[in-house]
Order: sequence, then C-alpha cells, then structure tokens
Amino acid sequence: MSIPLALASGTGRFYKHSAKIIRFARHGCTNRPFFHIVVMERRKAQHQPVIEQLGTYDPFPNEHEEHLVAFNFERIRYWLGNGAHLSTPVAELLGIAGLLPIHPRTYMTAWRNRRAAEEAAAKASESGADANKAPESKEGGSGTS
Amino acid sequence: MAGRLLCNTNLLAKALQNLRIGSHITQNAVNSSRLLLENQLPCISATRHTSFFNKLPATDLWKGVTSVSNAGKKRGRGKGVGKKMSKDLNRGQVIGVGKSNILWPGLNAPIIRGRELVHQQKLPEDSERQQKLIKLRDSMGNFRVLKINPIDRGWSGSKMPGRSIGAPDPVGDEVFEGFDTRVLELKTVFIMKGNLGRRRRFSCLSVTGNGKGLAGFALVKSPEVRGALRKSKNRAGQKLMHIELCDGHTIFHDFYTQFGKTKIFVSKKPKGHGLVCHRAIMTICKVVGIKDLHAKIEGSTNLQHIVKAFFLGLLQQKTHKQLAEEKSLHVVEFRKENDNFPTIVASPTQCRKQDEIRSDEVMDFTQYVLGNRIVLKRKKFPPFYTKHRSYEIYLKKQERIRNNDKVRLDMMVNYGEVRSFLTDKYPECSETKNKPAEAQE
Amino acid sequence: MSFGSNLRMFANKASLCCNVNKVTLELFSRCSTVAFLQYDKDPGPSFSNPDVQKLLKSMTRVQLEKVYKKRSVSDNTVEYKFMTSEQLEKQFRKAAERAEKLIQMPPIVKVKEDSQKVISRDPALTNFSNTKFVIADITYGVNSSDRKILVRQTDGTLEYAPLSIRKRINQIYFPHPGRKIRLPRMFEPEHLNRCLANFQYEFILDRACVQFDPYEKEYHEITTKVYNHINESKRFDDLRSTRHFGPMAFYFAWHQIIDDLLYDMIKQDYLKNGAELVALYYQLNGIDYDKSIHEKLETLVQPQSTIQSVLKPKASDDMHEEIKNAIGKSAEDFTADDISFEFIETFVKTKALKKVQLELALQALRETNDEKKKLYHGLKKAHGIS
Repeated sequence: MSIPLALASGTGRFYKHSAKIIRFARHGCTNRPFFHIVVMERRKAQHQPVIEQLGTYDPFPNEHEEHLVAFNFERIRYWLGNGAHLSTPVAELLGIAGLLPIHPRTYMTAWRNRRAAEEAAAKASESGADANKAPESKEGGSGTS
Repeated sequence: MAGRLLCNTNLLAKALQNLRIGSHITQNAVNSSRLLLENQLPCISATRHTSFFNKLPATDLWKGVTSVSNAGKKRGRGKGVGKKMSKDLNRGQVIGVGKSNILWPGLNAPIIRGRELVHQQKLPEDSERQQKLIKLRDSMGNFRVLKINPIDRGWSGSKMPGRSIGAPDPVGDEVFEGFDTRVLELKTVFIMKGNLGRRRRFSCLSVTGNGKGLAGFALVKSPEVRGALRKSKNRAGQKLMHIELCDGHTIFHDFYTQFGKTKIFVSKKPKGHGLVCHRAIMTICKVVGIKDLHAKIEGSTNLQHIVKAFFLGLLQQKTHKQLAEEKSLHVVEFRKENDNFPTIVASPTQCRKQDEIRSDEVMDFTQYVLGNRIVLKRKKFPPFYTKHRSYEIYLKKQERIRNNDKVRLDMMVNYGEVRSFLTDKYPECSETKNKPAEAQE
Repeated sequence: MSFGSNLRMFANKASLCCNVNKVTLELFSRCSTVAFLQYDKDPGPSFSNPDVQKLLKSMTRVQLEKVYKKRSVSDNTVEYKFMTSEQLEKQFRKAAERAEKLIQMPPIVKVKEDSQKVISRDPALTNFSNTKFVIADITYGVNSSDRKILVRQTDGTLEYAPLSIRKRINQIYFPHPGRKIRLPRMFEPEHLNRCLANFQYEFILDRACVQFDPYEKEYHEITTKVYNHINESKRFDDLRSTRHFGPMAFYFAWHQIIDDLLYDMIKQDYLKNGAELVALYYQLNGIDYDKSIHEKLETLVQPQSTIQSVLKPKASDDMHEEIKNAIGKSAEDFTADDISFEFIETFVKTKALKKVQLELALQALRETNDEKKKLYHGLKKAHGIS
C-alpha cells in the first residue's frame, strides 16, 4: 500500500464536472486502521491524491473509551452544497455528529446490538437459572435442614 | 622442463583415451575435449617446491620479519623495529603435545613399552601447560604501550607537537607563574656547511601563555631535541604579548588575518561553542585563554605561517571602546539568551547624529571589523540522495513511524516501560514477548 | 497543613496582643477545612479593574534586567550593532514595550464548573456502539474556547463535551505549544513539593500557566500552593519583576494575609508599595479608605519609567540630583514616605494580624529614614542650596 506524501489541504486535481465523494481513505498500518475523511473524485482509488481532507476518524477507542472523530464542518457543508456524494460510513458518522439526520444503518445496528444483547441476557439468565436450578435440586435431593 | 611437461601431456592424453573407452563419449565431444586440453597446457605447470620459507632457517626468517637490513635502515625503513611487534608463537610448543593431553604412540610416546603395545589414549588435562605457554610468550616482550598519559599526549601519538613542556625557566627572581608551553612544531632541518657538510639540527616552534591573555611564541634551532625544546620555551617566555579577551572567553569580534598565502577567517562565538579550528590555532587559543572561537584557514596551511597570521590577527583586534570611538557610534550588544535586550558595551565621547552618517558608510558590524570583507558562504545544496526515487520511498516509510520516538518517551514517562493501555488486552504485542520465561508465567 | 500551622502562629501572636481578631478566627476555621483558599466569589472583575491592575503593576516593580534575564535558548548567538543615540533610545523603547507584554499578569478568574448541555436524546439509538463518540469541529480559524466539541453517548444522547474532554481534544487537534495531554509529573504533589523545597517558584508558575487555563481548578490549587509556600519562606523577591507578583499580591490581599508581604516591603524600604498593598487590601475587602492617597503619592513619586532606569544620565550638573544619588532619596521621596507611613500605621493598628512585628519594622525604618533626612538637609546646607 503506497500512501502519497500529501498535505492535508490536498494535492489532487480538481475537475469541475466529475462526481465528487466524501469518503474514508484508510491510513494507519497493518492491523491498525485510521481513516482520513476526504473529498475526492468518485472514480478514483482511495490512495490517489485527494482534493481536500475534511477530517479524521479513529475506529479504535482510545484510553478513555471514546471514538475520536474530527470534521471540518464548514468545508463539508460547502462540498455537500456543491453536490458531493457521501459514502455510507461517512454519512453514518455525520448523522452521529448531528449534522445530518441519523442514518438508517445506524438505527439498524443499534437495533441489532440491542437484540443481540437481549438474547445474550436471556441466554445468560436461562443458563444461570439452570445453573441455579441444578444446585437447588441437588440441595433438595440431599435434603439438608 | 619442457620435455617433462610434454611427457605429462602425453600421459594425460592416454588416460583420457582410456576414459573414452570406459564411458561412452561420442567422437565429437572427445575432439572438443582434446582441443580444450591442448589449450590448457600451462595449467599443468609443475609446483615449485623450494622457496625461502623452506630454504632459510627459522632464525633468519624471524630476523627478516622483525628487523630491517642495513640498506633498508639507511633509507629510513623500519623505524618501529625495536618495538618487536611480532611474537614467535611456536616457541615452547612441541609436535604431539596440545591442548588436550593425548598419548600418540609413535609421536610422543614409544609404540612398544617393554613388552606391551602402547595404545592411543587420552590423559588428564595438563592445566599448567597453557599457563606456561602464556608465561613464555609474555616473557618475549609485549607490544610497547604508549607511556604518555592521555592528558599529556599531543596531537598525534607520542610525537611532540601539541605536548606541554611546562613553564619557561625563571629569569632571576621572575617566575613564570601559571604559564604553560606547548610545542607546535618539532622537526629536523639540515644546512650545508663548507667544512662539515650536511649539518643536522632540530627546529622547534612553541607557544607559551598563562591562559589569561599573556602569550608568546618562538622558533629556535638546536643540535639537540632537548636543547631545542628548552630554548624555544625560554625564548617564547621572553616574547610575551598581551591579548585582550572579550568577557574572558573569546575574541572581541570576527577578524580576517593574513600572513603570506595563509588567510584565516576567525569568528567570535558564544559561550559553550568551543574551539572549532586548526589544531595549532586550538593549542594557541588554549594557551592564550580563548575558549570559544571558529577559524577557517584558506590558502597555505604552513604551520609557522598559521601561527604568525593568527597572532597578528589577535593583536590587531580592536576593543569595543576603540570601535565606538572610531565610528563615533554606540556599540550595542544583542544577546539571544537575553531575548535581544540591547546592552551598550561601549559609547563614544561624542556620538554622531543620523544625518552625519554618510550613505556609503559600512554600518554592518561584522563587515566593518572584517575590513569591508564579506565572507563567502557557499549555498548549501540539498544532498544528492534527495533526488532519488528511493529517498521518496524512505520518506513514505518514515511517515508512519515519524512519532515513534515521542510515543516511546511518553510511554516510558507514564508507565515506566514501553506499554500502552492496550497491553493488558493484547499482551502478545508487548516488547517483553521475547522473554519466554516471563511470558509463560 | 503547614499553612494552617502558620496561621495558628498568627492566632497565637494576636491573642498575645490581647486582641483576638474576628477575621483571624474566621480565616483559621476556613483554612483548616479547605485544602487551599478558594475564592468565594468571582475574583475576575476585581482583578481586571483598572485601579487594581494599576496597583498590582506598581507593586511588581518592573526591572528590565530581570524581565530580560538570561534564559537557556537553543541559539545563543550574540549580535553587535553600531547605533546612534536616537536609534538606541528607540531600541530601548521597543524593549520596554515588549517587556510590558512579557510581564502581563495571568488573570485570576473563578473556577469554571461543568454543566451538562444536551442537544438531543434519541432512545432508538441506544447501544448503537459500545463506546461513545467524541466529535470535534476542526473548522479553520475557530478559537479553542469557541470550538464545538460534542459527545454522542452510547444511549444516543448528543451533548456538549465536558471541560476535561474539551481540553484533551483541543490539545490533540490544535496543540498548545508546551502543553501536555497528560498532566506532567512535576505537578504531582510529590514532585511539586520537591520543586517548592528548591524555591523554584517562577518555574512552577510559568509551567502552570502553560499547562492550565486560568479557570481550571488545578491551576488555582497549584498557584495557591506556591503563594502559600512563598508566604512561609518569605522569598517575595523571587517573584518581583515577574508576571506572577501581581496575582500573588492579589491573592494575599483577597484572603487578608498580607502581613508578611507588607513586612517584607517595609524592610526593603518599598514604602509606596506597602501603601498600595494596604489600599488593595481595603479595596478588595470593601473597606472605605481615603482614596486621595494615590494622587498624593503619584504627584510626589514619579513612576520611574523603565527606559529611564536604563538610560542613566551621566554626571548631571544638578546638585539636587547629585545629593539624591548619594543618599538614594529626594525631598519628595521623604514626604511621600511620611504619607505612606501614616497610611500603613493606621492599617497596622486596626487590621494587621502580626501587629508587633510590623510596628517594630516601621519603627526601625522610621529611624533610619530620619537619619537620612538629617543627612540630606546637612548636605543641602553644605552645598548652599536652600
């Protein structure tokens, strides 16, 4: 993976009529992703020179258990106004940030997570009940006191 | 000799023919191999079994390694011969006796002892043998170690230049207190005399000083080395000059000085810079008491010329007061360590006004003290490798690890070792993974 | 704790004088309960009050040599220049202007409290992630204090980030030179006490100014700790002519513990500063006093401008000047001293905690001043000037 040595202000060429997209560009290294939020031509690969960097996103929570996201909201509004497209992850992040409405996918993940948690809890309680039951029955069997 | 060679080739060809019968090689191949064979004639030259190695006795060989012939000595070869650099490691060693003490019948023991056949066998190791050998080798004399204390050493090895020869001898009741003399040059010189022929003398240039601005140098010749050293030391003491020091550690200003073809650009440096200059100038500075200075020599680096040029330059310095009087202007000092707060170092008795200063007057301090010269400072070009493609790749690779050192330091400060908040979760990524014992625990 | 013991000493002395001050007891009780003296109300407006600022600045006694004292820099080159007197004066003026900026006092404001400001709640987002999201607006040209930093909690609440997160995020995306994301080890009590034991007051305060904002609680804790230590060690001179002297005097005056500082000023013969300190004390604690004293003092003692102190006049012809230089005081100074004496004495009689000590110091200074005055008049007579 070859990442260009470029300024955050971007070195990519600007073509007026080409489709632009606000998307992630994966930086960081093996097993440690780090994303730049960039605006670039839609058809280009992520490590081509970008038109402009608009923010960063760290997918790994830090020491204080938080995801760090940075947006240059002024420029994002400008690019959205100029008809730039949005990739889904970035749209999700912007929804979380409160600039756009919450993305449906975020609701979906939230719902799925809740369901998974509920299921896990149910399972735990079930197994817990079983586990509780077993000694109880044993106790009952031994007939103590 | 040629006959023998030919004979050899014939033999070989015969052998080859035999081979051909044995192995089914086609005619063609044989032809080519024969051709090859004929071309390779000189490869099968006879070995020379005699050389000076096996013709001369060991003593002569050793002499050849460790000494110089009379003719060689005359030409000045082998100056370090007496040092005995090599050792005869064979001395004290006998064939058949080695590190492991083994009985070799026929070599170091009889084959038959009495009526019994002696067998090869390993005997208990002789611990004293090795020590005896080492003792013997030590007795042969070691490499001569330099007897001079590193502090007293001169510029190079045990040579005199750069070495201290003490203060000049007292003259009557006058004692040279706090003085130190250093040799700058000690060499043999010859002159032709009508009746004596080539006459050899020693020429010594030395500089003496008290480290507080009093210094002098002298060049003398004497038929003896010691005499030359003593004479030059004492004469240097007779020719003392006073050199004013700026703030007790450096010169007053940058200056340019020249003697013959030797040109020196000297620049004043702040405290802690040190002496960055020719070794002779450094030695002079130490003796005079200058601690911070930079000097660049252009042209001839003849030592006597350097010394003379540097002393001339030192003496021609102007103090700040003199400069202020010359220019009729204040001399103001701006120190970066004081956040460029102006300090007046010298004021003239009568200061000029702005309109009295001619438009073409040299107002730059450095340019003025250099005698209206401007030191040519070559432009620094980027190193050649910055244009290579590999350098770009290198930069890209560096980009990823650009803050590694800072992160490491931060971790060391916070945790006392290289670890992070993730180490507990992923212990396999910690630096101590190479210690298996710990990892297992 | 040691501060408490010091105050107890005050109390003992005060009781010895058979005049137990109500203020002392109040202070004592306050001090024993709280680790450091807090500001009960916002000190910001009083600190930035022009009158107070003027008093603090005058007390600082700016000396250019100390403002531009030697510091270790990476490049310690020396440059020389030829200059006419006019150019030189201009340079000095510039340096003095720069000094004004360099000794600008770090403000004292009240501690800012965290307040939760929720933008939206969305229960449907509960559990959308295991960890919260911190979103920073890195729009160019926005002030660090105005920057929008939001937190999306895991339960879907979007709110403004608390101060601790704000500080950290600001430092990550827009690093303040010299500031660390983690608290430097030197501010940990163990190391801080070692620094204090070595009397490195200016160093600590400078570092604190870089590391903290003035509205942070840690800043108040550390600065008050330093000020209290200075009050105990009586090394007020270490902070004189630095930007921290004003805040320190303000702190003492606010908490009514100016006695040691006043004693030091009297001892060093900075009577005008002493009067100013007392005035500051009155002003901050809402006690009425005769405000005309400032005008009187100002007309008598010209505030020595920083440039004048550098461009010392060489051998003036004026006999007055010569006598002044010989004794160190002029006729105006003596009258100004008398006014200050009176002003301080009334304070010592009514409000001071260390009465005996201050009275003795005043007495001693008065005697030496009288002697000087005598000498001054004698010299004048000898030179035949009325």
